[in-house]
Amino acid sequence: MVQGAIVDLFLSCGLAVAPQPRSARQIAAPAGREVSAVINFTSQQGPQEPPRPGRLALSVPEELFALMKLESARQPQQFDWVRELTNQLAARLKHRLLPFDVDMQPALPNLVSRSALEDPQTRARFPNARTYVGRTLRSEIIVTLQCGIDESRLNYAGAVDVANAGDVIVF
Amino acid sequence: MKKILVVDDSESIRQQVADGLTRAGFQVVEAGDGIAALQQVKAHDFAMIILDVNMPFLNGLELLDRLKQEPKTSHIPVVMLTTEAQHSVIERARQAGAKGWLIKPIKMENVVSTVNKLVKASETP
Repeated sequence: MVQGAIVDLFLSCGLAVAPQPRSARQIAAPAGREVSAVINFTSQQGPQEPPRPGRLALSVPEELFALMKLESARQPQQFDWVRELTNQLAARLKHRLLPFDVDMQPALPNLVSRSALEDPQTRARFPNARTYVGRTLRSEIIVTLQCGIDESRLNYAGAVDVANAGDVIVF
Repeated sequence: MKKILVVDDSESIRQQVADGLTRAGFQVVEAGDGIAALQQVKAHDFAMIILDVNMPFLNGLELLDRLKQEPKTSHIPVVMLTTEAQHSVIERARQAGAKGWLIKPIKMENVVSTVNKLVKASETP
């Protein structure tokens, strides 16, 4: 679900991303500079469960920004663009979780440093953090998902009325 | 030249929309949040407003409610531009008076054609 959301998100920017098997490798320190953003959210797994806090972080190597195709004459600021990408990634994940009766409510995205992402205190709050790596032609995109969603209880609850990314609806 | 207000906390999205609409012959004013947008609607006459939903201070749905309650702005067509795709939320905006819903990521040709269509419709008596 997360890997599919990453692939679709970057495809919309003209960037092909190949998700890496989660158990295949360790995450290395980035070779070059990268820009990261994080978005906090709550997730509620079924109406009887209390909302639980979570966060989704996206790290994009600086060199990849030049490869993304955007419909603007001006090159966007990397820090602003990575925040927007994180926002869009959270939305894609939210919509993919809805048919499994998980209600995810993202807040606003913020910039974050790698040291803050790897802060031991924060990691301790989310012991089941998952890291996803997407390989591009030049370098790797890293997504970290920290949340209280119990994957073993993800049961398909039925289709949910959700429009598609890129849709235009005129009333 | 018709003026369009683009409200989004992402500068990148504002740039993208502003560039596309400027090329299509509109004059674009930008606002980074709902409070700034309220100041802009006092200072200009807009033919249309494009609103993000998830913004600091005053979110897009709250701002839509305020615009529709105010006689000076209630007639201005508003289109929401957002990552939100749940039909229950989209329906909430329709009932509040929004004229359209654009889901990110956007294609500028879709934005321009929607703006042209709705601006023309609002001019028809």
